[in-house]
Parts: sequence; C-alpha cells; structure tokens
Amino acid sequence: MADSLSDDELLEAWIYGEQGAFDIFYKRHSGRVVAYALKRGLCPEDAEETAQVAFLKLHQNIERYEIGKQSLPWFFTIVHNCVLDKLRSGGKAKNNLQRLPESELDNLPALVVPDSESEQVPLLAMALNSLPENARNLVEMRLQNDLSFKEISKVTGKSEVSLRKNYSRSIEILRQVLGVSKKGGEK
Amino acid sequence: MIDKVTKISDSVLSDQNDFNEFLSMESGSAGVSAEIQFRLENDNKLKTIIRKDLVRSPKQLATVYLLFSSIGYFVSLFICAQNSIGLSALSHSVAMQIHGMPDPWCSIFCGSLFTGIPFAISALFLSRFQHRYLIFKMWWFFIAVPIAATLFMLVLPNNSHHNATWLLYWALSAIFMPYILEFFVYLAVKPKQIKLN
Repeated sequence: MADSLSDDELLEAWIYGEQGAFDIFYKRHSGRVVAYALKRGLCPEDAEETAQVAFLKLHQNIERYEIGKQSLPWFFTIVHNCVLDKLRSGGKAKNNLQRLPESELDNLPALVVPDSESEQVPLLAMALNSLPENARNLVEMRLQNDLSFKEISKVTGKSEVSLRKNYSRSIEILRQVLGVSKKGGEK
Repeated sequence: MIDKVTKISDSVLSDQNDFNEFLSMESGSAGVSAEIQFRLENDNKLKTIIRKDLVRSPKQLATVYLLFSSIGYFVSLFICAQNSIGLSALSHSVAMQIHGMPDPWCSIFCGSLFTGIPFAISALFLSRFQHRYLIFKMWWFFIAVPIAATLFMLVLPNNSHHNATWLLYWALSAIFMPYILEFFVYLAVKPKQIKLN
C-alpha cells in the first residue's frame, strides 16, 4: 500500500479490510494523538493508553465513517473524547473541555475564527433569539448550566439521541450566523 | 445575555481551536519522545488485535477462506450424504430422511445443505473486515469456490441413481445458496457512502 494515499483513502481502504491502510494511518497519526493527549495534561503512560483506546474505538466504529467525508475531523472527535474521558477518570478534567458530538465536527477545517469578537455578540444574540424556544432552552442548559445530555434528557423527558441532534442543528444555525459556512469558510 | 452569547461563541470556536491544535502536532511519531516512539511502533498489543481483523494479503485470505470452507464441506458430508457420498453413518441416515421429501425439494434441500454449512463455518471465523474484502475485492473467488466444490462432487464416482433434473436442481441450489446467504452479509457490511446532492 502506498504511503502517498490521503487519510480519507486510507480510512476507506481500512474499512475494506486492508491491513496496510491501518498500518500507514497508525504510523501517520499515533504520535500526533499521543502528543495531543500530552498537551491536554495527561502523563505519558495515560497518553499512550488513550491513543490505543482511540485507535481501537476508531476500528470498532469505522463503519460509521461515511466514505467521501473528511476523515481527520471525524478521527479527531474520537481522539478528543477519549482524552476527555481519560482526564475525567483521573479527575483532571478541565472545565473548558466538552464532549464533541460527531456530527458537529464534520467540516471543521472550513471554520474560520471571526476577526472581531465584539462584532459577533449582537449577531449571536440575534441568532440565539431566532432559535425555536426548545432549541434555545437546550443550548442554554448545555452551555450555560453545563448539563450533560443525560441530565437534560431527565429534565425534558426526550431521548439523548434526539437532544444531540437538536443541539447539533442549533449549533449549526449559530455557526451560520457567525458567518461560518460548513462547506466553504466565511460566507 | 452577553456572557451567555460569548460562552456559546467560545464553545463553537473552541472546537476549531482544538482541531487546529491537533493538526499542528507533528505527524508520525516525531512529536513524542524516542521511548514512546519505539513503544508506539513496536511494542503494541493494539496493533496485533486490529491487524488480526484485517487482511494482510489476498493470498492469505484466500487460503484461510479455503481452509474453513474445506472444513465446512467435510462437516457437511458428515451430516448429510451427497450423491451417496457420506462420511458417517449419520450422514446416510439424514440423506435417507431428506429423500422422503417430494421432488424438487429433496434436491434443493440437499444442495443447500452441502454449501450452506461451509458458508456458515467460514462466516463464523472470518471477521467482518475480511468478509467485506472477500465481497468487494475478491468476489470472483467467492463465486468460484461453490462452483468448484459442486462440480467436484458431481464428477466423483458414486452410487447415486438420481436423474439429470434432480442433479441440476441439486447443483443450482448448491451453487446459489452461499450467494444468497452472502447477499445478506453484503447488506450488513456494506460501507456507508456520503450522499451527494
């Protein structure tokens, strides 16, 4: 298998069972995963373990990857959540880290940080108000009150799956208002 | 309100920052110490576990598939005799029972059993990745094996008194049974493709 294949092509070949694709993908990204985990505050042993868990999760869930989508944001979601789980299990969780729903990271490279934060505030306020009441409450519960989807599910009586979908949709609306499009950067 | 909005803004944009940070890490093992780098590349149980599920080479998969299929054909002949060829007393008694069925069900049932069991055994021992590889990359091999096995059984000397129609039904059901079963496996392991607008 050629080293020159893109990550997307490697993941596709991995799905079809090609061991060489896994070997190259692992060689290309295992160090990066460990380095990311170290930077997030894990000790070297935990960082290595987290990398192993992340690759194992990727292997176990690889069928969920849609061929044709960008693979790295999807892989990063798994890595990030594994790092977070490890931090939490070790009681080292940082408040600013949150689990990422997979669908939320589909096209991350296309996102652009806005130039002026102050200019975004009224826009975001407008966007927040334009959300349906249920969605607004959900975003508030998730971000303002730091409730998990499980906790919100208990409060609202809705399933975690539908809450995650609604949350992703709401975040997408907020992204659009920020002037960030999923497909091509700033509008 | 501004606090709330800023928090949302931070949350949305922190995803991007985290991802950028991840991308900024050096690829390969260059970003970590030599000791970790060595362990990542050599001393790694995870790699062994994952690699076991995957296909090292088409030849290896073909050999493994043939091995399990052969075991399956032997098991099949132990359970039910085909064209009077059976490997146990049980197989002949089962064949007698099946012959009580009216035609063409007897030939269809016999043929299906002959290749259905090898399929079940190979399906049991191959991982879903290996199955996917077999279906999508080596479909010709999967198609060839039941045909070869069925033809082999037909040319073996036997004491069978079946007529040509019976043998035709038997051969067709023996050949198509694994294809039908594999179609369900195909539906189960088919990868997701992104929907193009």
